[in-house]
Amino acid sequence: MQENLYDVNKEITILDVLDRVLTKGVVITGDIVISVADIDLIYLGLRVLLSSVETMEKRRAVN
Amino acid sequence: MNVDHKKLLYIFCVTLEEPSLQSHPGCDELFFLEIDGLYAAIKYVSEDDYSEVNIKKRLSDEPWLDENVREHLRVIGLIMQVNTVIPFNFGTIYKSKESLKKFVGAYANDFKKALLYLENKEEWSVKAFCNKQKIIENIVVLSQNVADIEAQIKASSPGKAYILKKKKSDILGKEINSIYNTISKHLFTCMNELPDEYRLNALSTEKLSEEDDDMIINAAFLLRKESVDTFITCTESLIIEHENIGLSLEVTGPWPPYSFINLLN
Repeated sequence: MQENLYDVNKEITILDVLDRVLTKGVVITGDIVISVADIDLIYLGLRVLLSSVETMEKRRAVN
Repeated sequence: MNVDHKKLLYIFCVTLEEPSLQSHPGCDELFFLEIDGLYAAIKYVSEDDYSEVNIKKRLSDEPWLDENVREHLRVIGLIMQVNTVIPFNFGTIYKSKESLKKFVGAYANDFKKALLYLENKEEWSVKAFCNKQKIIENIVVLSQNVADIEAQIKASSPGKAYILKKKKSDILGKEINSIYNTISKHLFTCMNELPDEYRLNALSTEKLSEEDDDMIINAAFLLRKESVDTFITCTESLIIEHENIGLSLEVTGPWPPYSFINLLN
């Protein structure tokens, strides 16, 4: 949870963060960058992590 | 880890002015490099983590990935509190200051234009969900086609009613999709009155919770800071207004303006 990130009604999950910091933004050509193929692998790997997070925290407030 | 082993440069973001972050804990290793009137927020990292070979291994290490991705966002978030930023993607590495300077210097004017455009603006994310069960409960109110069939069922013999019920069942999915389309257009129109820009992202079709909800909007909005409170009040009103479809909204921000960096594309 980001202290500086105003959060109206939910926890910020790793998936929320990854959706921005990996797949959007400036198209950068650093000397080393995470490739599109690697990003796909990260998302595949996160299926397990996502499931475990689900059991620990409520992702969304019921309105 | 010995500091001497940290030879690679990890970049978080660039700003127009040098941020003053001395009072914030956890930024000891962060420093700013002046490049053509811009400031790159950087730190040295180890080849053990970020060399071309090792980062691939690290990416499958979920605790490492979780910790470092959140750290990436946390540092940018701290800088955002005092300066407008152009955020860089997680894991963007330069092998030397010279290499970083060459890249940032080459695009310095584009970065400056983007930073001026983003000044006093924030990125907010909205994900909207409808509760399918709630929609089915209220389907007669929400769908004229289903309401018409219901009326016919009541006025029909048992045999004809059976056929009509099957017909109702057959069109239910199509009617729910139609309701989703109507509602999402309405919600988007209401929410898009204030923002300067928006981006629509792909809808997630995966079930992320046990609730019988479907995502109908996944959007990012670029808002002027003074409009944020009004925007959030608007989303809260929409939830109340759409109680009969079990509408829930995930509203989060301010995010680094990842969705609105319109350069180098």
